[in-house]
Amino acid sequence: MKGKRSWLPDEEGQLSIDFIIGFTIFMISFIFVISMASGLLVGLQSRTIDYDAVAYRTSVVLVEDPGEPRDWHLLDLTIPADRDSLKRLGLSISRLSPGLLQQQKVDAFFNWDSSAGCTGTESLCYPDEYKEKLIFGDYPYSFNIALRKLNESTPLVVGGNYPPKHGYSRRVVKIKQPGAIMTMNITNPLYGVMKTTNISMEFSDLYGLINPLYRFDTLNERTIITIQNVTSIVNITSIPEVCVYPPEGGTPTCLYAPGSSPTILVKPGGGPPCTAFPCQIVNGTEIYIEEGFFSRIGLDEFSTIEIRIATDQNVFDAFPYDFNYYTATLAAPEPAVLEVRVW
Amino acid sequence: MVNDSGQLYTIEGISAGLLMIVTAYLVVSSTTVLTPQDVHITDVQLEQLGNDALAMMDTRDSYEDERSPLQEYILNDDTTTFTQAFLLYCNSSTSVTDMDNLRFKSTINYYNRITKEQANYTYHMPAGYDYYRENAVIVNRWVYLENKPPGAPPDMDSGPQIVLLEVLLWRV
Repeated sequence: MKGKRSWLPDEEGQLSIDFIIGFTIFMISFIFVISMASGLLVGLQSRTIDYDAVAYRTSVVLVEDPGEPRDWHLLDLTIPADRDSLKRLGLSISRLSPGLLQQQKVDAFFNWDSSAGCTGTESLCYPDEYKEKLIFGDYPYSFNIALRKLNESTPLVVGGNYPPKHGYSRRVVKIKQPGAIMTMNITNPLYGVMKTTNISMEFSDLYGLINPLYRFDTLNERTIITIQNVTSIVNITSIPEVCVYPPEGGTPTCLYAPGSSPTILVKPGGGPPCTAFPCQIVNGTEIYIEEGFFSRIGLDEFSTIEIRIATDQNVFDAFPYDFNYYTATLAAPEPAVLEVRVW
Repeated sequence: MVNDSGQLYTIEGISAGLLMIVTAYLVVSSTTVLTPQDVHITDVQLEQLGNDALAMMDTRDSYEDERSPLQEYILNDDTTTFTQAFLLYCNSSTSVTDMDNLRFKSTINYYNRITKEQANYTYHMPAGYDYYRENAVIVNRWVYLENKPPGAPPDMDSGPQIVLLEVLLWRV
């Protein structure tokens, strides 16, 4: 009967079982969808964080890893097999030396070419090789990597212009300067007794220094012997000879430095190298051993050699010269700042 | 008058309200989760930069050098050069004109030979010390000293020792 008293208990205010089941299913589905939607939002909004992480990872690879192979800067990138063997671009001098970079690796890293024929050059192909061997990841990241020595004003840069929002990482580093330099004072021909002299190099002594930052890495870095105290007209009569002692001792095997690079050059006054001999020398003439020369002729960290220099005057004493940590020096590492931007 | 004829509408209204609250909660919580991670990344960057600067200052220029620049600064109480060098390393970028603006305070922790406990003294305090920020980081480095710096507290041992240089670093 309609119009009954409303305070009496009845069944009109109850929900049907169909409604409760339907509503429950709807709620569960709705919560599930909302949960998924929030996950999507996280993915969208974490892009900046991802960029930062990639920039940080890239800076770590550059600053704390020597690359693969670790002497990749000596590869001849014009040879396809050498280019293929380059797996990772790290700039550190060794795995145990984070923050200490090698100058030759820095030079090689910022020597890039974006043209189609870059694989036939000494340059790294931009951007593909940098993405494959440094940035990594499936996402097509863009990047800008810059390095500036603190005593210079112009940075070395690889990469394009970057947008305002990007992942960023900055590192402070020191760059080992290659090339141990030995100064060799010759004597006046009136007092000298020898026209030829030997510069002795014990690689086991050189590589006995544990810290790679201060090590004379003659196998992988250039080596310079500077001739000073030239007081008369003196000519070097031939291209320098390298005499390699066998491990068990005995008579050395001598060979002339080859005509092609890497080799030994004679640079009068530190200028262009002599192309023909005899070649007159002046103060500051460099016996310039190019990086990779000793590796080229099969030497290792235990080799013993002599570099033989022949002149047309008696400008040398009877005793040979020694190239070691007492007679040669290495320039101090240079502080620099490295910035990695990824977007 | 109150009666029961609108019950279903009321339940629907309450359900819709709950749905809105739950949705708002989920969306808000999904965004607030991100914020600490973002800050964390920034912290890592600052910490890395400070550690890099200290490591480079603690690198000798030549193997013949007896001490690293950092050791020299502490041993000689040369806070001026230390501050200049540290800020140069931390604030420099690849653009000469675009310098960062970091500030720092540093303390030296040492072994107190009287109390036999750790003690510290302030090595550098910036002028107008303004550290009130959450996003500061602490970086530190063990430094070997051959003897006590002249300006160190009297209860510091006078012989060879290792101290902990602690740097509180923040961006202004």
